[in-house]
Amino acid sequence: MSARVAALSIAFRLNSVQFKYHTETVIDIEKLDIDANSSTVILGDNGAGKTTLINLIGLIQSPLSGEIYCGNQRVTSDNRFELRRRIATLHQRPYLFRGSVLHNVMLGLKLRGINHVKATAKANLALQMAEMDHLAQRSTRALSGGEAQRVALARCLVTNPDVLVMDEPFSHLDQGSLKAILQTVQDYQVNGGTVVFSTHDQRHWKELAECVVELDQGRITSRYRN
Amino acid sequence: MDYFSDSFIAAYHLLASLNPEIWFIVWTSLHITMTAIIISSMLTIPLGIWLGLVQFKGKRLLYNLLNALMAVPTVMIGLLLYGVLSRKGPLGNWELLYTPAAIVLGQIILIVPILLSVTMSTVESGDRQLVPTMLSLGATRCQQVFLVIRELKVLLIVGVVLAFSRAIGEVGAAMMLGGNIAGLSRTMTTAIALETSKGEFEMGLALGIVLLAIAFILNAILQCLQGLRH
Repeated sequence: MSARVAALSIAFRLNSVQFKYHTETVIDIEKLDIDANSSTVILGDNGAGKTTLINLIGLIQSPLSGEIYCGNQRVTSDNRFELRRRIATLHQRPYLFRGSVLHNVMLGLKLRGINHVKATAKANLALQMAEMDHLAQRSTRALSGGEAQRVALARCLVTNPDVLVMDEPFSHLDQGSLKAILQTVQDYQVNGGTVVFSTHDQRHWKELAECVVELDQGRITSRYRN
Repeated sequence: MDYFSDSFIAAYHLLASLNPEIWFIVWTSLHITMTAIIISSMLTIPLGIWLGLVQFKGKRLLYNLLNALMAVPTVMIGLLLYGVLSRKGPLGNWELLYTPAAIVLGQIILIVPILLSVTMSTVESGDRQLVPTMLSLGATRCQQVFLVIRELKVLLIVGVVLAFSRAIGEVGAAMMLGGNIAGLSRTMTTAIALETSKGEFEMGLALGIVLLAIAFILNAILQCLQGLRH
């Protein structure tokens, strides 16, 4: 999608999107455009609907009603899987599979049918770039929270996604991990990637975000440039 | 008390002397139950994982139905399957009645609800981030099933062990469907019932000891698996 999204100014468009948990409306967005090749932060208090919006943009969840466009393609049940493979989502509490760090980083590649040798080489390179190659053979159960978050980010980026979506990426991180993650995301964005992330933390988003979307009770209250 | 202790000693001698009749019955039981477990697991575990991963209307109803099926007495399963497999039944021309295959079929019907329910609840009670992570990594539905098997294998094996212990100790369906034919479909449980009714308490006790040993071994495996999980 890089070429396609690069040619477009909009990475995502949400039209009249609603999402409910049982009967409670958690997302009710009339219109939201997310710029391509830029970084957008979704700000809101706890319970504002940030995680649900991130999951909708990452195509992890489907809206109850409304339309989502990814680039110039309307997301449907037919193309959802292919479009989702071009988006990487970093969850607030990343899940790492049993086994080594290397196994986790190469998993997305293997799921795309890339052979073991190529996947291993790419994953090793991704770990080197993230300065985590010394952890390659370590069990994921032996990682700290910050290390786990960095491994999950490397796992996201190794597939060279067009869009990186992150849910509260800076929560519960030590200073070293925070710095490393900010640097990695900035590098990704400088190289033409589109970044969308949510946070309720007022400290770190300013150095990363170009566009700000404020969310309150599932509704967009303002959208402006940082 | 003498009767009991004498019988116990006689049973021990029967086992120690490697009585071929006893060990053939043990082998028949293990063979039948292993076959039922392998077939059921291959059918049920992927299906249970898939049903656990997807959300659909009627899931709660399915759980209730599986729970109800788990409570069906084994003799009832035997009775219904007897009707199906008997000469006048719809599958009478398969000529399965009074064969080990009929017992395998009965055990499959017995353990499928257990395996399906345990597998579904294992997947649903797993880490809530597992499914979103698999989706965001771009896993197909089939790849998700394999990832879940790899991730939750210990808990899935616990379900298989539980199903095995339920099947090997079952007597009602085995008696009705296998006919308790010596050298063909006589299992440990049906042999215990027969030998005891014949007054051959020692023989029944010897087989009971083996059945008990299997139950203890299965329990030890479960404990080990629980330990591995933590």
